[in-house]
Amino acid sequence: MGLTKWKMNGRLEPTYALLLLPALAIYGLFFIYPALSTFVYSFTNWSDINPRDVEFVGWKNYKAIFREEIYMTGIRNTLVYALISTLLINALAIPLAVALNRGFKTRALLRSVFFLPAVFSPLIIGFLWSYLYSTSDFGLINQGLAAIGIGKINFLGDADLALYAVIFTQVWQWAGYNMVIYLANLQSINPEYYEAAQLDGAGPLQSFRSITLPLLAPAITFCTVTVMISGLKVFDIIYSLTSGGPGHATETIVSLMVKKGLGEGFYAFGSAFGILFVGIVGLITYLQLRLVRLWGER
Amino acid sequence: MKKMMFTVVSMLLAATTVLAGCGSNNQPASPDTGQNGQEAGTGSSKEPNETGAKTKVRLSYWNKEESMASLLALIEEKLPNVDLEYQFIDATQYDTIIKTQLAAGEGPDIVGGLIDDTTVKLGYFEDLTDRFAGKYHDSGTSYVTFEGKLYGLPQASWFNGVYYNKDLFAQYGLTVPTTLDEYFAVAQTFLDNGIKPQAIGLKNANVAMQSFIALALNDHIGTAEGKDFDEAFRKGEATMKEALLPALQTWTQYLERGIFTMDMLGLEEEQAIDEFTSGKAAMFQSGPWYMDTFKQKNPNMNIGMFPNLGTKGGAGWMVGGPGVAFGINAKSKVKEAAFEVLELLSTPEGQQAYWEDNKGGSSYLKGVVFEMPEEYADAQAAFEQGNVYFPPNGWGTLRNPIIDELGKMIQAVVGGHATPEQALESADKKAESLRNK
Repeated sequence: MGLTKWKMNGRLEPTYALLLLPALAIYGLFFIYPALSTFVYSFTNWSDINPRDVEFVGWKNYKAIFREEIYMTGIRNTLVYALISTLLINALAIPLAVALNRGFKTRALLRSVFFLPAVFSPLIIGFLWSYLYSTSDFGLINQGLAAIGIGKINFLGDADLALYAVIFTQVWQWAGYNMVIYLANLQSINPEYYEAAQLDGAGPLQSFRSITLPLLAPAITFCTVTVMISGLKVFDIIYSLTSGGPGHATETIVSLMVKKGLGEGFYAFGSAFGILFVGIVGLITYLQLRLVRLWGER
Repeated sequence: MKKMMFTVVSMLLAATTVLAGCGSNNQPASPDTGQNGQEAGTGSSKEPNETGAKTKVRLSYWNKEESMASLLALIEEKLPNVDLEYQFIDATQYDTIIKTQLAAGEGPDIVGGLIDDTTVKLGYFEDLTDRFAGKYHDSGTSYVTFEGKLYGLPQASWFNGVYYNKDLFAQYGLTVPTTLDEYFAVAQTFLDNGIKPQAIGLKNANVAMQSFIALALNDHIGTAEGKDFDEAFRKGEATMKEALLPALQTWTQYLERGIFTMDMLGLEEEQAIDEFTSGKAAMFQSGPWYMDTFKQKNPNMNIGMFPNLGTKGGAGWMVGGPGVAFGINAKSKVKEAAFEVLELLSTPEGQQAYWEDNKGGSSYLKGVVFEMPEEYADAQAAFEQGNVYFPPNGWGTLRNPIIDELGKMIQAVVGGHATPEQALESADKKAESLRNK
């Protein structure tokens, strides 16, 4: 449907405008209204022991976030998680896609194999990796390490290692999914570009750098932004693999928000943390898009 | 004009469909309720009436329906006028969901748990004193009694002690320890013979907390000196650091002696059970809810249980308490039917039905004694002295957040990222913020 059909004399056609209303009402009711409520509540003393006589307390909840070390740990862990997982997932997905875009017999099978982990719920992945990482004599990875003479590694029990062990599971789970998006983009690249480059004497690496990578820009933008945002929102895999531990070593913004805001009944504080979180996600996404655009222009 | 009419009709249709989906209940009318599918406990169910229609009573709890099967069957048999709807809600979401419903003046008619000084002050629970006072032992009702009024009925207790592999003990000529020093000597024998003395899934913060609290119970909270600790801590008149630091310092001996190691921070409880049932570990702290699992994993295993031990002597302590206390939603529209259910539960028959699916614990209803399976013979002295207690039950609304914080900080102690002082300070700090909410 052309845009002209939607507009008459530069104004939105009333018929179409009316048809938009139900969707707009639902959007307003289930997103705009709760979001605005969250913003308002973030300046109050709303909690489980004070659910009714709610009063405004100014910036108190926001100040409390920056006063406690655990919330800074949560913010730091979230940023580390999001940044590393974005880099690793995409750095693996692109070469995988390029490799599996070539014509060979087991191509379809391998694509399925790499995509398969994305089918499972993070809770199942958490359960699975919890056993793989286990330090018991039944832990598969540590059994393998012992067999080759390396001592046990306490993947999830070592506070300095646990976050990276969680990131690894997510790289394993999502690299294949992003590979599929890159594959779709690769298939839209005209093969004639590569033929011309080959005639001009360009090697595979140069073709990749000068043709593939620039023409993958739309998929790179999409994948890096979506992986970054889901990385910033990480909760389920943390919940299922470490529950934020050992100690508070793997707490993230959302795990703390759920714990403090819902579990401990500090609803207003949770709202403030949520609003701050939206700000952080917005800022990082904006910077990331600017960066990708600058790279595209270059 | 025709186009406009079509648009308006389409919109109405779309809106109707959407709003129908958003409705709180789209069930068809039920012959049981006699009402248009409205939910019980939300001001909808009706009292028994002369037409013989059943009264729908909703009961929510965090244990699966199988754990209530016998009781539900009994209710169906004995209370033909009641249609009890059991609503299982996973423990991780339970508090949030039910508290939100109660705050909105809704929620189930009979509520499992959540009875504390805050929810009682907010008027969420019905006073049960007139009809149930004196029926249950004080040791069970004390934590659901506020200002002398009873708000919940405590059900069969849960407990944990230390399970041990009798065959391994016999193989090395060991006897059941009765003091912490004896326990350490037993542990050393196993270490010397390449067997893990005790399997423990320290990856779970709750497990870490329970291991420590068992010692704290023996060395302070369960003693004459520490008997008022829980109430004082709840009110902010005592701190963990002042009261429990010696116990936590003693607990670190498990680490210094190599009984608990950093590796165990990477172990789930299920994985620790595998170590225990396969004979790689000789002991395991837990409760009767895992007995079936032990038997499934190793049907030939010979198991016993002794109480958690401390440095002060005595019979030792089982960490435990009332499994759940059931209260009545003050806003329930079917209170009389809810009372009938609780009255049935408060009979020997009701207790037996509840216990059928929760074996191992004991009843708090006066005059009701369940026969303890023989695996718990070594813990009999502790039971006889009433040494079954779960200190967090006395912490009111601080309970769950402090359990989590304490467990997490004990993990940090095991990992070498916090000292015992820092661990308890952190729990005190969290408690203070919760008190000042």
